[in-house]
Amino acid sequence: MNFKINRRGLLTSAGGFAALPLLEMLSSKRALADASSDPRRLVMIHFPNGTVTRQNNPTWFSAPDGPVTPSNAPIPFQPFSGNLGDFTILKFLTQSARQATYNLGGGGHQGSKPCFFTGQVPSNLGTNASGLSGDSFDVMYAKLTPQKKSFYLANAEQYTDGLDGVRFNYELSRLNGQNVVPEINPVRLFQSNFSMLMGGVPPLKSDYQRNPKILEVPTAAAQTLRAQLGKDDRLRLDAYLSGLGDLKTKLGSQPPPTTSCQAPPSPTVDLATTNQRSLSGKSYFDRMLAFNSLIAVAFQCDLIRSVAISFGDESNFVTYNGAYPSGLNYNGASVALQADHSLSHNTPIGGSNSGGFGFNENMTRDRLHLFLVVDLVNKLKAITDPSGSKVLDNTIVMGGFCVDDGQHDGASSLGSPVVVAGGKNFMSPGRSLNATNFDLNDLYFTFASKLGMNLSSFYPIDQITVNGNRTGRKAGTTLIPL
Amino acid sequence: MFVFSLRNNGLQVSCLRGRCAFLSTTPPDLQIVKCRLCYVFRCTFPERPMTTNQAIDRDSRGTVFAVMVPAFLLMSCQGFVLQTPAPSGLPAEGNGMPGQPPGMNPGDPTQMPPTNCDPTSAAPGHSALRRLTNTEYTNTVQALLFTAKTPGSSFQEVAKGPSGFTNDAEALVIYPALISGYYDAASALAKDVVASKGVANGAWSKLVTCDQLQPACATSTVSKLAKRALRRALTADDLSSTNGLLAVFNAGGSFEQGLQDVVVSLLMHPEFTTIPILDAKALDSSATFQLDDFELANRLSYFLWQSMPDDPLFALAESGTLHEPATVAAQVKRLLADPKAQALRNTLRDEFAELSALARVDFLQLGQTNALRDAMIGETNAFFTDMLSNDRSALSIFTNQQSFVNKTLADFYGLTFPVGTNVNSFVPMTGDRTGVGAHASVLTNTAGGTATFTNPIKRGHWVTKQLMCAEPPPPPPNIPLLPAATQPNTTIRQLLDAHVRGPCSGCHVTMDNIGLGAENYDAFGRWRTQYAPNVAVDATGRFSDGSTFSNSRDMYLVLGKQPAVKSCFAQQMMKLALARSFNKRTTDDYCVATSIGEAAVTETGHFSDLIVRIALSNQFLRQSGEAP
Repeated sequence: MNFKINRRGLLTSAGGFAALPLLEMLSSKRALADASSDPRRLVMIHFPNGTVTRQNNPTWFSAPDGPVTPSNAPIPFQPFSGNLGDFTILKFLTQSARQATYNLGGGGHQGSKPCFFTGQVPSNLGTNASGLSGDSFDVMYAKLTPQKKSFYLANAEQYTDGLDGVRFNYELSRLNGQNVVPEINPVRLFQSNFSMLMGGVPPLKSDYQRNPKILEVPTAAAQTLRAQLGKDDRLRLDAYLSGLGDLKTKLGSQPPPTTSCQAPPSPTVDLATTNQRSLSGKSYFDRMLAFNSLIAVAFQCDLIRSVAISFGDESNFVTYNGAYPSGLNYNGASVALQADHSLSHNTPIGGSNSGGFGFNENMTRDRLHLFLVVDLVNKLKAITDPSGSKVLDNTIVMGGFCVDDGQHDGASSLGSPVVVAGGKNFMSPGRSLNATNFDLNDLYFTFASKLGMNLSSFYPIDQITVNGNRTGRKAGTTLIPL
Repeated sequence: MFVFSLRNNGLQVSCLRGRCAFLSTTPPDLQIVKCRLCYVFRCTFPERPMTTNQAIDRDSRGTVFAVMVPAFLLMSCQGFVLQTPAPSGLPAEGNGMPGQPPGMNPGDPTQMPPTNCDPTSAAPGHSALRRLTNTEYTNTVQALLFTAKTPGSSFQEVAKGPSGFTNDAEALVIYPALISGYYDAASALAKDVVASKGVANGAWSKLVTCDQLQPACATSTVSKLAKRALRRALTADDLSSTNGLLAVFNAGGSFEQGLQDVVVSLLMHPEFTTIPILDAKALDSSATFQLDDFELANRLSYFLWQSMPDDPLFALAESGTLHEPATVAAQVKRLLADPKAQALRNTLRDEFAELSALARVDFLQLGQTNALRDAMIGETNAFFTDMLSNDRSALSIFTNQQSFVNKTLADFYGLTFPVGTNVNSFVPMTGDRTGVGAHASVLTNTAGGTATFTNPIKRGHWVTKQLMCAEPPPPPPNIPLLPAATQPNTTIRQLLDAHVRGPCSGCHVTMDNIGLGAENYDAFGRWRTQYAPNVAVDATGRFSDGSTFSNSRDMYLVLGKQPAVKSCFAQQMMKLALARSFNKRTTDDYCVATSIGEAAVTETGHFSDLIVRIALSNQFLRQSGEAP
């Protein structure tokens, strides 16, 4: 972006168009020679419900240290031989926060997502307050980006009620004064974030700019109503007022149209199929693939640099419904119609249990998750940054679990897998890396270093002193040789 | 070490430094009590008495429990011995302590079927300010602006709240993206209004009924529209030309633009998007007050129509007579008889029977047809339509012995569809099933989601949760796998037998018993008597009150006669009406619901009797204040 402004400045000072071809060439050479000026991005993806990785069957961790090849690729990666060079598989990474979350009960499900995205232990699983004291890592990074914005995309979520609200409570992260709320609808994401690429001021903006009273009257009414309400009701109305304020800011300060990026086509995912739970596989996959396309455009146009994705809640009833390539089936085991949570909980090694789900099905399920990650990776590979570098090479894509294997078999589990893809301009993917001596927090600290966040440790020391060891974050965080 | 002996029920509990165990067997009628305690304290429940040194570790729940257990146990024990609970009388929701899921509140003495309570003096409770559900939003803009659009479907779908319904204030979170969505919808709808000018019977012609060139037309048009949008009497401030709606109108610059802007402003108004209840006493938490007639009109219409009040309701509210009991009763019956009451039917189908998920299942993947899926859902839809339109007893939900089948479903059930009847219409036919729980839709939806096996736990869970209001908690961590079958033709009953003898028994005795009682229905709800040649289905069982059944048909018949289901259905309807879960600090809500259930969910009663009694209850007509 900066080089375009410089170019304009140069053009002005040159006083004519004759120099344009030369300047274009010079700019291009300069950019291609310096990928470090490209924006760096982060994508964090949470896989729900754990997986099977045990002493007697290490699955994700089966490859020896070093390059991952088609002949030694772990079962979940085997269908993706063309992408093995894009991923680093972190073996045996310690997740102290996960373990502490597990100790709180519920098999660790309730705290899995907040634990994964924050590296903390949600001390209070009974309320949405959850006891988390800091932002999720994606929001930490988003706050340091020029856009100060993060996409939080979710599939198959139920985050508003009861227990599932608890399972989703990392939404307490705040950005620009607002809670970060998941977006589950690609069409709405498109409408709210890509309209500036359409080549003009969105018509809805002009209504408010022309007649601000449109929103001033409802705002005043909400303030009057607020004074007549009790404490809890007032909090609800505060959210309304806050939303109105956010809307006015948004409508009043939309950036000018950008001409260098092309608007993507609006996703075709049916708005009516945005149910969070009991979701059919078709809409599950369609939605996630549509999100991936939008992320690619958003990165290419530098609309955003930080994204968090949740593939589902910890108990979700997503069924895959046959809407995936059958080549992903491990040993022919289809997971069509089976719910993600059920699959993860029924994983006897070496066969199927009485419920009909077994190890093979669980491996197929892991492949489905990876299929969606690989789709994003390939879309980021296909587009370039101003330097000419692939967007993927400037992007960290990480995915993982934060709950133990489906049976919570902590005694024999080797830990929850985490994979890292992309970032070739500052990392060396394509390896199986023994991370026994590192914690998830070390990984985030390493990411922070790669993303230029300039942290001296992952979190201030006071974050770890609450209730002794509950945060999982630790001082003296070390860098993982990614 | 603490040892508690629970009076009158035979339960003995021992706790030592946070380690608890139950030292005695549990009488059948306390299985759910045991289940709830089990979940919270992570105790095990031996079938044979244990000694204290056999106490089981509580699964490393954390030191906080070591402190809390004795206190909570005392509360729990006290609570449980206050009453003689029937196993099915416990309400579903609760969140008594951190980490505790809905369905759990063992320390709450109100979670008992109340006895000797006076429903007429019950405190009404507080229904929180809530926004419209997405369906309510769509229905309301359709009624207000005469549009066929469904903008609510573009908002993020709302999950059920603790009450079990999507209109629960707790589920209806307000967040920035929603407000942005409201704005997008409002802008589009407002433009449609202007675009309809000149269209016969279009929205413009219904909203602008005066000569727009006359000065008074703007005021009357805005006033009329605002009253309907805000669903209350207007104040001078509402219409103010300096900072009210007429100011919005005037800033538009033209009648068309002004009206368009007013529509946007109204649709963004908090009293359009939410349903407030206000009173001078609203900020006094010790006070109760009666809803004003406009608030009552809103409560009635959003309960039964999921939409705004119509003109007759507004007129009664404006005259100040709506709250009169005879008027309330008459309006309930009028609203129920109106086609808009299909919204209530849809809620019963999608949220009470929980069929919304089934509609999205691709039956082709299950080796069946989607026509069959639609027929299954159509049966339940037809059943509720019949119940509402013919004002049948709410008890028919449990005891009705007629199936509603089209040709597809009749063939599937093995019934002979009447010749000459439209094959797509649903006609009542007597078959081998009783009540909604035995509809193929519900049986399939709760079978486990596969073509090949049922899931009795899931089926039992649905019945205990939806029909008995006694939802067990979710399974604790480290649940063991069911033992693998060691012999061919092992039945699911044999596999589940471990549940009723082991530590899982607290929760599973009731659930499994009911689920296994439905085993005469296969994964798609077809009647069967054997799993395979020479492997008979055993669907016999007994409820904790001693009543027995010999097959699935009998099981649902017996179930329908359980007093708990009557109270439960009254509870369910009250929660829907009040858009909230029950107040767990008092017995008031349960008292009223139980009273209404006993009186109205009867063989000779009518569905409208139940709704009228709810609408005339303190809980519906009144509201408790809230601390400022």
